[in-house]
Amino acid sequence: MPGSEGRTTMKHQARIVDGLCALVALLAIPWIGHARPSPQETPRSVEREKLLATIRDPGLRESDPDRVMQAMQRLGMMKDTGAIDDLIPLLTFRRLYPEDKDPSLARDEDDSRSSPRRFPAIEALVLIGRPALPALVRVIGASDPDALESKCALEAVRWIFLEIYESGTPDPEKSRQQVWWSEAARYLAQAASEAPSPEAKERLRLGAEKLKHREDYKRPY
Amino acid sequence: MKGALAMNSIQETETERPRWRSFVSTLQRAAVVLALALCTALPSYAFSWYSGAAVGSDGTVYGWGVTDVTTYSMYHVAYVWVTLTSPKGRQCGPVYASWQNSARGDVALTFDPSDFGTYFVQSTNKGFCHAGGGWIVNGSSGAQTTVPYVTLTLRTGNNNTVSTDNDKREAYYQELNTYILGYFRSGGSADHVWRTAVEIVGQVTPNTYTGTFTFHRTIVAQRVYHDTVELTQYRKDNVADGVEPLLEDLNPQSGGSNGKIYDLDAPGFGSAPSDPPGYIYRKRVNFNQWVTLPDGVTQVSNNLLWYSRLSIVTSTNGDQAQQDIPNDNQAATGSTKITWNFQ
Repeated sequence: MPGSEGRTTMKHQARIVDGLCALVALLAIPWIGHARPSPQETPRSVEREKLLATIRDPGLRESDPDRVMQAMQRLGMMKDTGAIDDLIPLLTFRRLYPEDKDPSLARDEDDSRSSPRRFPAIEALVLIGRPALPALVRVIGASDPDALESKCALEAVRWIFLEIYESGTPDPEKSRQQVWWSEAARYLAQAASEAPSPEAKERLRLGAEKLKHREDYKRPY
Repeated sequence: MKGALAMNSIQETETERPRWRSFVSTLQRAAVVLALALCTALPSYAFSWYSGAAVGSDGTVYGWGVTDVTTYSMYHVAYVWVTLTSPKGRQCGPVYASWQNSARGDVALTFDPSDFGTYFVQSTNKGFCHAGGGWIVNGSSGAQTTVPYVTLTLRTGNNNTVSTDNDKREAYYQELNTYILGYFRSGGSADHVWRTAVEIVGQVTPNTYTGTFTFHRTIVAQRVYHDTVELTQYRKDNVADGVEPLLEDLNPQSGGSNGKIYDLDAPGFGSAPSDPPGYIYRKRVNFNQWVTLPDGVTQVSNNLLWYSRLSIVTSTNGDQAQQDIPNDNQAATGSTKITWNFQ
C-alpha cells in the first residue's frame, strides 16, 4: 500500500508537471504566433503613411478635398519633414469656400480666410517650419514671380519666419515685425547669392525685395 | 321693564357663553396651525452623498467624499469610504470617516510628472438611524478630474488686446492688421470684414506643465438673417469649427506665460459683391470650446460656452456696422438667443 500510495503521488506530480507545461505552452502561443510589429510600424508611422497616401491621391483632391486638407494639416502638425516634397506640388491646391463657388453668397467667415487657410500646403509647410525653407527657395527660384505657385511659396517663407520668431524669445529692443520681416528678406537675399542660375538669382532677389518692402502680403493670390 | 331687562340679561349671558367657547375653539385651532407652522419652519434636510475632485496649483490631486444624513429628531450616524486612483494606478485610500449626522473623507495624490490623464474618486456612502435601527443611506458616488487641468476663460472687447505672452499675437496681427479684440472691421491678409474677435485663455494646472494640448470648438448653433428673415443656407447646428493651428499657442511655457495656452478666433461676416446698398445681415452663433490632451480624446478642461452677435449693413463704401439692436455686435461668455433681435 505505501508503494501504491507513492505511485499515486508520483502520478499526481507528473500530471501537475504536465498541466503546468501545457499552461506555459498555452500562454506562450500568443507570443510565438503573433508577429511582432517592426520598430518602424509605430502608430505614428502608420498614421503618417495613411496621410501621405491621402495627399498623393489626385482623385481625392476632387472627390474629398476636405479629407486631403485635413491630412495636410495633420502632417504639418506632426512636423513631418518627410512630407515636404509631397506638399510642395500642392502649394496652389486651395480651399474653396461657398462664396468662391457661388459669388452671389455672402462671406460667412468661421475662419480667418488668410493665405495659410486658403492654401493648406502653406499652413502645413509653415507648421513644419525651417526645414521647409530650401524647398520653397527652389520653387521661388524656378517659377515666374507672378505665378500663384511663386506667390504661395513666398507667403510660406514669410509665415515660417514669423513662426520662428514667435517661438523664440522676443527682443525687447526691436518690434516683432521689424525682426522677422527683415530676417525673411535676408534669408532670401542670401539664397539669391547662392542661386545656381542668373534667372533663379533674379527671382529670389525680387522675392527678397518684396519681403523687404512688405509687398503682396495682404493679398498674395 | 325689569323683567325685560332680566330677560335681556339672560339672553346676553346665553349669547356670551357661545362666543367664549368660540374664542377658545379658535384659539385651539390657531395653536394647532401655529404648531404646524413652527414644525414646518424648522430646518429640514434631505440626505445627500457625493464625491468631488480638484487639482491644486502644484499638481496635487485632491478628492473627497461626503455623506450627510443630518436630522434634529433622530440620532443618525454617517459613514464614508473614499479612494482616489490615478491613470497609472496609484491609489490613496480607502480613507474611512464616520461622525454623527455628517462625515467627510479626504484623499490626495501628489504630482507625478509621468502620471497624466483622468483621476477617479470613488466613495461608498452610508447612513445609519439608531432610532429606526436601520440603514437610511446605502449608496456610492464618484467624481473625476484630470492632470493637467485647464481652466478656460474668454477675453474680448473693452479695449482688450491679444495678450503679450500669447505666441500668436503677431500672427493675429498679420491676419487682421490689429491686436484689438472685440468688434471691428479687419484688415490684414484675412478678408476685410466685421468681426467679433476673442482670445480663449487656458490656465494650466500645474502651471509648470510642459506638455501640449489640442483645442476643440464646435458651432452649437448658428443663424444668419437678412434683417428679420432667416437665410437658411447659413444655418449650422453642432458642427466642428475650423482648426487654425497658426492662431493657437499650445505651449504653456512659451513667451513667459507660466502655464497659459491660447486660442484666437474672430468670427465675421461680409456681404456679397452683388448685394444692394442698405442690405442688412445679422449673424448669431453659439460656440462650445474645450481642450484635450494631444490624443484628441481625453478632455482636460471645462466646456467654455461663448457667443458672437454681429449685424452689418451694406453701403457704397463697403459694409458698415448695423447698431439698431441693443447689445448686438459683441462676443461674450455664455449663450445668446439666435433670433434676429434676441427676443
